[in-house]
Amino acid sequence: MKNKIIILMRDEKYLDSLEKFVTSKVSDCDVFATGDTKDLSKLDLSKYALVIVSSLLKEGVWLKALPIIRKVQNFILLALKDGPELNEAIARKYGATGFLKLPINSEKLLFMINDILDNVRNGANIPKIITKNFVEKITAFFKNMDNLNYYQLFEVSLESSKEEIKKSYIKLARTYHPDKFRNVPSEISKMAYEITKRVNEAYSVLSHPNRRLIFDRMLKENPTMARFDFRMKVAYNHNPEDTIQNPQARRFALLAKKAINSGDHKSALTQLKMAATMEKDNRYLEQMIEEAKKALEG
Amino acid sequence: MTTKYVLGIDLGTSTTTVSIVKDGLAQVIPILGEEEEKIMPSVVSFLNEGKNVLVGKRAKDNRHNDPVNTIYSIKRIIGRKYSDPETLKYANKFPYKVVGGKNDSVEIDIYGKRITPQVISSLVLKKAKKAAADYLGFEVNDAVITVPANYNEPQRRATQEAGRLAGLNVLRIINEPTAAALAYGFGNNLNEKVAVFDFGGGTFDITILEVRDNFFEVLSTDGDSFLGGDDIDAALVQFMIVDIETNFTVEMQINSEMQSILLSEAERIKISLSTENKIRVLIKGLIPNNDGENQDYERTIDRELFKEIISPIIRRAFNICTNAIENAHMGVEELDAVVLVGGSTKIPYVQERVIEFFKQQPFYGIETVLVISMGASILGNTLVNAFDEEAPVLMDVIPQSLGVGTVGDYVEILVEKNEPLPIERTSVFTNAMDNQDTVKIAIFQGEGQSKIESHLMGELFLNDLRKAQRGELKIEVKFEIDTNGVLNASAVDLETGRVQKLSLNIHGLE
Repeated sequence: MKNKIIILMRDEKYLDSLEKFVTSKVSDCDVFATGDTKDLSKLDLSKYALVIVSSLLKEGVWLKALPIIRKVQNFILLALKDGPELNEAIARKYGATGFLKLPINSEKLLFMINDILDNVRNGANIPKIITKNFVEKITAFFKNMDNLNYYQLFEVSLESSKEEIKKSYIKLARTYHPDKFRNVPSEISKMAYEITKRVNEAYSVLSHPNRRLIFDRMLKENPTMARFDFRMKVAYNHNPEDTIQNPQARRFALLAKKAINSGDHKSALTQLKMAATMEKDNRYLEQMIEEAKKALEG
Repeated sequence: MTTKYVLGIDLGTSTTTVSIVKDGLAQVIPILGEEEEKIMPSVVSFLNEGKNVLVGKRAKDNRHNDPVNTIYSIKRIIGRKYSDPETLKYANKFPYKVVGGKNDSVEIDIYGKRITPQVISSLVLKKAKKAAADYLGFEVNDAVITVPANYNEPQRRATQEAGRLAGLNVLRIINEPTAAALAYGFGNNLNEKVAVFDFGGGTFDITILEVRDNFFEVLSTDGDSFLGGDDIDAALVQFMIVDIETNFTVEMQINSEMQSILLSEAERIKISLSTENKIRVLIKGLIPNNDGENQDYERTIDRELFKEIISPIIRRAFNICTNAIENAHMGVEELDAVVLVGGSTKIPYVQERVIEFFKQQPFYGIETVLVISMGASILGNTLVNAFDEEAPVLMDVIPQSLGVGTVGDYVEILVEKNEPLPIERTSVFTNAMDNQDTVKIAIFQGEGQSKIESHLMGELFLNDLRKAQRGELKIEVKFEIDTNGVLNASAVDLETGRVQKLSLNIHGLE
């Protein structure tokens, strides 16, 4: 397939020499050179890989022609030294793939053109993961995330273990991390960014034993609640038995811990069960009972 | 297929290296005329009233000739406020002139001209960029630059600015230990908990990472940006001065030239003792004598004595390790690997203490001074070339808590230390007076919950407020920390739903 290039420039002499230069130096390409934007309307612009535009195409004309120019996959903007104030940042803002100041260093221009064409040939400027399916998936996820609490966001249950939560976190973070969306349309990278912020927020609650405990309690009182109130300052729990409110139950839990340490899982299980009758719905106790049962079986 | 290239730059306190991924491999870019033809001292020397500038080894060599106009260790003070006690501490040590500028910023006085630390760093980066262009045959503008994990917001911002000034498009600022972990190839199928012990020229960092399926999750990070090889050199200089004063009963007046000589000698002693058991020190004509004829300073320093001199410094590093492991909510025995990074880990005594503390043999396979830039280039390469599912993903954390000042001495913490990035928190503010035009919100970074314990980072101003009675306005401010660890803020008037104008002023940056 031939790569189609447009050169858009007012100065005829320059236009000519640039056309010759590109045709001779860039292999396998088709060049269309013109000084008039009107000529562009005759072309099927989506078939063109690149347009090289001079900023001094009459004052401001290139800006007006921008919507047309953008129909081409890539454009390189050439700024005249004495032309309108332009810099790389502004050019990028307008969506330029490349920016060069005149007089152009021909090697630089050549490198830029080849780089762009290579990308077009390899489809490299459209990341593999941005399929139509993916765009639908990320859009749906983004639109729905405000309606979900952290458990629903992670697709885990209130009973899920730390490990299950972590697995789910890694999966989401891997899918939506903003670093993966560097060269994609900004609406997608923006969604990815917002999603990652929310996923991190959820993880900072669900991976934090005390925050999770408080979140669970609030969720019980108000099932429609979605997010944690970070004005509440909660210390990370180093001693999980501190989550047990009933002092008797806590005493039994500590005894059970001692028994486990000395390898006596049977007594531990009895003590844990005692604790669990005094304090209902404590995740730590439930977990300990499960573990003690497993230890006895094993 | 042409790949896009991204420079990975380790802009270190004492040296800078630059790497690139080429043909699928991370490789260090040669910089001609520098140490080992690739390690460039982060030193800038101004000649002829500032008309000519030397960067790298030649600048470092010029340190003795012109200590006042030769800038080194700028990373110690970049992004800091002039009034920061740490800045003042270093300003007194440096032979060059550190002065205060606008907005409590730090500036260097060179022949009466004021230059910011960002400009100094940009000169180093420019040379790195040029070396890459010479090597590759074309220019590369995209870069990933590394910073110490414990760098705060203004320091990261200042580093970004230095990159911009050097004409670089800074794709990411990443933490040095994370870069090192990437370079070591952790994450290739392995599920591991790794500690990166990064003891460089100027800073000490410890980072605990969990790596599984190429997902790099930072569990905790801690460090001291004023703890490094420079401090070991300074301790040696201090030792030599005391040694001279006690043995020769003289009072040493140290001028900047003598200081340069002593520092060079200290560095030589330190490096030699990594391979030798003892070293002979000889500085000709150092000690003043009444008859005007100066005496030589001569003595032997062995590893035992060196250990004694530096052990208070090394101890500080391990106290920080204890904190970091605690903040990762784990025990030292759960660590699968320990990686050593940075020149100061070449010291045998440091390695001894690492084995003792972590109870295992550390990794130091790849050149410790090169891993960071290599890791940065690996990340840079994935940022622009690989969009597949397998590409590594880094989840870094905020190294210091961020909060806002409230009434009295209290700081309300918004984002706690070690929360994953990017992250956002919102807070609602109101007006304290009728028809108040502007609300000023003080932003703090640091550990404490009181203003004295924290570091006043800057202010956020809510400008052109809607006219309202006091307490009537409800402005919701969204504080967002991006993947570079840099703060962005936005605000909404909750009643009208309109975007509220605001401006952010970071102290120490103009």
